[in-house]
Parts: sequence; C-alpha cells; structure tokens
Amino acid sequence: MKDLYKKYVTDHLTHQELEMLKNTDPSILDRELERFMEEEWQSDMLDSSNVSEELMVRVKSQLDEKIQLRRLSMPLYVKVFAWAAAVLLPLLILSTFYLYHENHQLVSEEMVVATGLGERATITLPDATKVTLNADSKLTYIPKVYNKKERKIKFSGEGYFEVSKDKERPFLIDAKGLNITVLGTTFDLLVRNNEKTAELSLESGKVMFRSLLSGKFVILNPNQKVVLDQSTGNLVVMKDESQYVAPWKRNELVFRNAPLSSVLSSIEKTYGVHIVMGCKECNSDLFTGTLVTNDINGVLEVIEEAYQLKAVMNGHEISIVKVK
Amino acid sequence: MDEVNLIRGLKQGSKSAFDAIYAMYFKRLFVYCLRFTKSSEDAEEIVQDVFLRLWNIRESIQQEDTLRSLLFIISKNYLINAFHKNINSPVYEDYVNYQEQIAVDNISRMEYEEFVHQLNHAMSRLPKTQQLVIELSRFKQLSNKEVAERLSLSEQTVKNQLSLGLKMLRSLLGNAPIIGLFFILNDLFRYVDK
Repeated sequence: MKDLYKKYVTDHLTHQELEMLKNTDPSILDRELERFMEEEWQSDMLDSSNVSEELMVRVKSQLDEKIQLRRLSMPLYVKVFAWAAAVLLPLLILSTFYLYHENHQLVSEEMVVATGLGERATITLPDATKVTLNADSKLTYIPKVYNKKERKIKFSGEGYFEVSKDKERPFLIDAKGLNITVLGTTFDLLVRNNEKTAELSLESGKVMFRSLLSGKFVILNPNQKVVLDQSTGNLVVMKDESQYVAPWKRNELVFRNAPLSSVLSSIEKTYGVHIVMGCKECNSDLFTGTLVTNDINGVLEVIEEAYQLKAVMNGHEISIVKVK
Repeated sequence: MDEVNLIRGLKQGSKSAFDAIYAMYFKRLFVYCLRFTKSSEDAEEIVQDVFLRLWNIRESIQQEDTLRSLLFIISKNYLINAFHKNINSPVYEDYVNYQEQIAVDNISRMEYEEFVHQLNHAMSRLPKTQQLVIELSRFKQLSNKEVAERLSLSEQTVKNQLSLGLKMLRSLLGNAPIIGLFFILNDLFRYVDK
C-alpha cells in the first residue's frame, strides 16, 4: 500500500494501481495514507530549494490580509463595549432591547416548509432550486437574503435536492453537525436530529460536505455517497451502488441488511403510523429488499410473510405479533 | 531566535514571531503539500490555510520545543481531501494513462499541472459546442443521452461533436512540444461509442 502512495507522489502510478486506490475502502486508505504522509513530512528527501522567495512573499501578503481582517474587528468591538458600559443602566437596557428588537425583526422574516409524518412536499426556492421533502423534514430560509450573495438554507430530515447552477452564489446547507457547499447539482440528503449518522448521495454535479465537529470535509463526485458519524465527526466516502439516488422519491423503501426495527421505523415515518412490535426477538432480524410504498397494506403483507408475523391495523395504530 | 522562544512569542500573540515561524516552515510545507495536491494553486491555498489556522489557535498551542508536528496535524485533512479529489478526477486518470504511455516510449515526463494546462489551453481553442460536449462527456462522465438532454441536442449530434472535437484536440496537441499527449486521446475516443 505504501508503494502506491510513493508512486502517487512521484507520478509513477499505473492505470491499474490507480484503480486499486480508487477501489480501496476509504477508511483503510486514509489510515495508510496518514502514516505515509507523516513519513513524507519527516523525510530528509524533501527538497525545498526550488521554491521562490517571490512565492513565499506573495502567499504571506494574502495571509496577512486575512489575519488583519480578523484583527480590525476587535478594537471596534472593544470600543462599543466600553461606551455601553459607561452609559447609565436604564439607557443600557433600552439600547440592548432596541438592538435585540431590530435583529429579531430581520431574523424573523423566515420562510419555513415542514412535513409531518407520512407527508411529502415540494418547494421551489427563489433561484428555481427544487427541493422535494420526505416525511418529517424541515427546510428554512430567509427570502430577503437568499440569492443575494449566497443561497443559504437550514435543513433537517430527508430531501432530494435539484440545485440550479450559479457559480456566483454557492448553495449552502446548514444542518445538524454539518454544512454543505453546492454548485448546481442533484443529490439526496438525510440528516435527522435523532439519527447517529447523516448521509448525502450525489447524483450529478459536485458537492463539498464538511463536518462541523471535526472540520473534516470531502468533495464528492457523482455516484458517491458520504456518511457522517455525528459523534466523532468522521466521514466515510463510498461508491453509491444503487443506480438511482433517493428511492423514496420513486415510492420505494430500499433496505440492505437492515434490522427489522429500523424497517418498521421507516414505515412509521412514511405513513405516519405508530407500530407496536409484539415480537421483541424479531427486531434484530435483518431485512434486505425493496418495499413499494404506494399502499401500506402491501408493505405489511411483505413483512408478515417474511417473518411469520401478523399485523393488525386500528386507524393509525398497528400492532404486530408473532404467528405461532 | 530559536524556535522555543518563537513559539512562546507566538502563544503570546506576537505577529513577528509568527512571521519568523512562517519564514522557517513555508518552503518545506509548500513542497510537501505540492506532492499531494499536484497543483501549485491548491498547494498555495492549503499552506495559507494551515498558517492561518496556526495563527487562530496560537493561544492554545501545546507544543513547546517545535511546531513541526503541529503543522503536520493541521495540514493532514486538507491533503487527504486533495488526494481523494485527484484520484477520483477523470483528468487525473487521463494523466496517469498518459504517464504510463510515455514511460514506455521514453519521452520526457510532464508534471500533472503542466498536463492540465496544455489540455485546458487546447480545449479553449475548440468551438464552444465541441468544448461543452467533451467536458460533459469525459470530465463530468455523463452518457451521450444525458449530454444530449443537457444541451438540447440530438444524440447523433453529440456523437458527431465529440468526434470532431477529439480530432481537433488531437491536431492541436500535436503541434505542442509535448507530443505524447496524443496517446490520451485514444482513451477519450472510447466515449464516442458510448
């Protein structure tokens, strides 16, 4: 493995070796890569004699600009604070209240689109970006500022995004534990508050996906999927094996070695029902298959058949028991 | 000034200590990053980001005798991402094929950056439609049908434009000092029959 990295840095890779690298499990790839990178960094062979002074100076001046920007804001902040502190208490309270009110007004011009359990919705944003929301999802944006310098939204749940191309205004998504930068693309994003992971499957275009916790980010290419572990901020990129992204949009639920408990949970969300599972041991059985979701009865029949269960529906309550 | 004192200065917010540390490590860091990014522009950006991050976290730096390992830690994620970006890039794949081919023919090597530059230059000299078709077909890896949809053309037109464009690229690159680029186009021709 180390040889491949050596070949990569010295541009001696063969086509087959490149394929090998592409097909290696990303987490193993990265682990070995880190080890190799450390060796390279410590290596005596690193020859920096050709680097020009001009380059060093140029990068430094850009760097200094960025540092200055941060510094400038500080003194001003300190000045205002000193002034506020010097003012009489009632006046201080009044001005704080006024500022809060101002901010609150601007901020409250929010547009929220939300779906409940068993619901779906499509929203078209001011720039013609189309988002199809799956059940139990929420999208928020501020019409006044959206599409000015950038296109920013807040999101939780699951949605299929068809983002209009606009090089000048990046499409940004704020969601739990992550943010995403997009430039004209189609993808499915799944990030729920109570889930341990978040995933994005890219259909076309290019997306930058970043973990807020670890700062790690990846740039995805089509037919790739990234899974974020919310507790560690680790990202895993994998090839998206399914030909299509967002099977739920085509009224399908696709499972691969999923425990029955999570299948039932998906069914609950899709139809807005509540399932009481009588057979506790069955919850860990694994299910692989595709459920066509036009009709809940069909779905329940599949589950009944597969696990020798009986489902009884009472309005929105479903109870499942094992058939002896 | 030795590094221990520079680090102490940096932790206390001394910009001149930071400047000295920058001068100390810039060249090495740049060359190191370049090995993974294969593009000077990306390497510059990453080096800048690394030093900026170093400045931003200056108060919480744990190291006392040298910043060598800290700089490595900060740059790690940027470089891993650059690595992934390259190995998954269609243009990089073309480059690897090209490298393999010239190794066989014993022609002088070309850096990836130069390769991309030559390719972009030749591409820009193509008529607009041919350019778009090649970009979508090879670099964005869309099928002929998808390209036809995107550009509102018939599939046959797409095939024709691909074929014409590739022929033109071939002749354009043929006049470049690096004749070896010819060989990658054999690969590109694959896509005409997709």
